[in-house]
Amino acid sequence: MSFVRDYIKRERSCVASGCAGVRRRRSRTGAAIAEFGPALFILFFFALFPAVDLIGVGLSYCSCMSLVDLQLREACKIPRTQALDPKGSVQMGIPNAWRPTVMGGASSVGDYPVTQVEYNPSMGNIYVTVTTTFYIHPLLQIPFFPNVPAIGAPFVTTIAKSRILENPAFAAQ
Amino acid sequence: MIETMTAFLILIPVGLAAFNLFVLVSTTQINEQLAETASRAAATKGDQQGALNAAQDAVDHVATSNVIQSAALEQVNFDPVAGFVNVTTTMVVKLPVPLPYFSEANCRANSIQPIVSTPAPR
Repeated sequence: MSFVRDYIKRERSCVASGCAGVRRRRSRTGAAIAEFGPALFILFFFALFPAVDLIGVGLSYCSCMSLVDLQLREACKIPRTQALDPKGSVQMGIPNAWRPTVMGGASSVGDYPVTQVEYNPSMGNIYVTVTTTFYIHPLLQIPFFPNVPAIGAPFVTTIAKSRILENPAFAAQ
Repeated sequence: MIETMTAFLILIPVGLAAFNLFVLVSTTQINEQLAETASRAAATKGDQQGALNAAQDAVDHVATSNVIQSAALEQVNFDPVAGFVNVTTTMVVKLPVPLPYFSEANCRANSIQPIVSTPAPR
């Protein structure tokens, strides 16, 4: 019975200090639980879900950069005709091999990436430029941002990287 | 509502700082690749001046933007005795969300490539 005595003592001290009224008023009107819903709604739809979307787009972008690195690494080592072939290793083989991997699967790239390969001679060297366009879909489609890229609409990004052609003779083959 | 606003006050600066970090890491990687391309271009030349011109040409190919303010060649060391060329590049990066006392970053990258313009000793 000692806890009952402690409870009564706490209540009396609370009444004496004036805090008892405050406690009763919150519990009777239910203000805390009424604010809980709108607060969570705002927090989720305007902070948490956009943050998840932005993190997802960042990861997808890193994954796309790694794909362009792989394509460029291949393009600077093979003849020009093979690199420009739409069904060759640069434009189709490597993206097909990339999509089922963990990096490719984790990225939410919707459509097939579109790749262009260019050759630019300069100062005795030949630069190979691989340009790939990606359509990254948001992980969570938030209806309150219908046309905002990466949150309510696909994020279209083009990644271009250059490197020197390893064998200059490949530019003419 | 007060708790939500307080959470926003904490979350928004953390998100902006994370975005700054992402841009900084990304541009640092671009600078690393630029140094590698410049050293690879310099390695195809036969002397110091040719290597310098080729590396400068590679740096001139970098497209500047609001984030990448400038890219420059800091050092080219063409060493035919050792058989290596050493190139250092710098890049001035303007952070998209400027912070007090930290609105710009100066990235430096170094790359070493073997000289491929001369036949290897037998």
